Amino acid sequence: MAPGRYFLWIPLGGNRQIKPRETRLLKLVYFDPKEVKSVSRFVSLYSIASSIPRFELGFEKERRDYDTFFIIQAPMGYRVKYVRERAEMDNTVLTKEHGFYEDVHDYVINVRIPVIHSKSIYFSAKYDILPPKVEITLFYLSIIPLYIMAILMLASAVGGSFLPPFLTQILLKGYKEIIAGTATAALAIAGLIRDPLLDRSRYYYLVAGAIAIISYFIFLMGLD
Amino acid sequence: MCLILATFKSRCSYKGDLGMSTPLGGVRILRERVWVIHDSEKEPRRRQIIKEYTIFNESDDNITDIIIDINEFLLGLRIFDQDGSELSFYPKNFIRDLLKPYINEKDIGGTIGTRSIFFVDSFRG
Repeated sequence: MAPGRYFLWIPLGGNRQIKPRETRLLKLVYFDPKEVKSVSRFVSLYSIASSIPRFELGFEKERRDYDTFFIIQAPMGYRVKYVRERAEMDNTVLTKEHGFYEDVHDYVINVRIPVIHSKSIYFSAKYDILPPKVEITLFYLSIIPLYIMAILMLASAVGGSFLPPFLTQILLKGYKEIIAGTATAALAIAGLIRDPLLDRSRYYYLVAGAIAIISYFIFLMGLD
Repeated sequence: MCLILATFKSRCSYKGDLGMSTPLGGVRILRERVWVIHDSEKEPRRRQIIKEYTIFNESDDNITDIIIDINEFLLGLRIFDQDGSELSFYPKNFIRDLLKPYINEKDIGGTIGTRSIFFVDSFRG
């Protein structure tokens, strides 16, 4: 036998035997330990903020006389981005006429691979699990003002001449409060993020907090 | 992965690959569904695979055993009947030892690889 190939032998016992003319549903449940690749962070607005895992599906169907269905289901609130790579039967692309179809929804994908007697079928696809839209929206709604404030405070602390004088005056007037608010908000949000796909976004908040804190020290040195 | 259903009789038993059309004169898989489930919000990268087979016994014999030919490691494998009961299965070393006196391992691979029906008897005395 080829390496890695083995048998599972399931004794059904007296009361579980499949009787003549009877149907039975059998389930094999396991985890897929294959490592996933993260989508490059420069691909989309989503991938800047989050580490999007990408999975592959591969399937070769030979001389089977039953349909095969793939159902991909995202966790609650998450979405699936699905891309088919290959669905062929002896170099012919499978279509609906052959009985091949794909139902693609936000959180669930259903693919049917039909029976085509005496033909081999090859199917492969990739899919990404995307974080909830609302979390990405909140990321951009919070990170952009925080960076604007942190950079403005840094500029006013170093005496940036490109800022209008009235703006510099306003910023310097409530400097400690604005800095404290910006740094606290940035660090608190970084600490509150629990979504594993948004781990990467923590660094953006930490950097915004660090800029605010550095601005404060520069501001203090300027007072001396 | 291929499923082989076994109907063991008192003396002579036979097995066949369900992938072929009714090799046992009426035992077949009607449908295969592969659920790829990312069920955990805490760890959406983790995926659970559920392979679900609908089997129909068109033969006149009871199916007493199911043998599955596997070519990959299945992490944390559990097998369930349709009522949700977990089924036990023999580990591979046990099967190897069980088959060794009767069938050469290479022959088994070759036989299943070519999808032919083969006979085994006296497994159960």
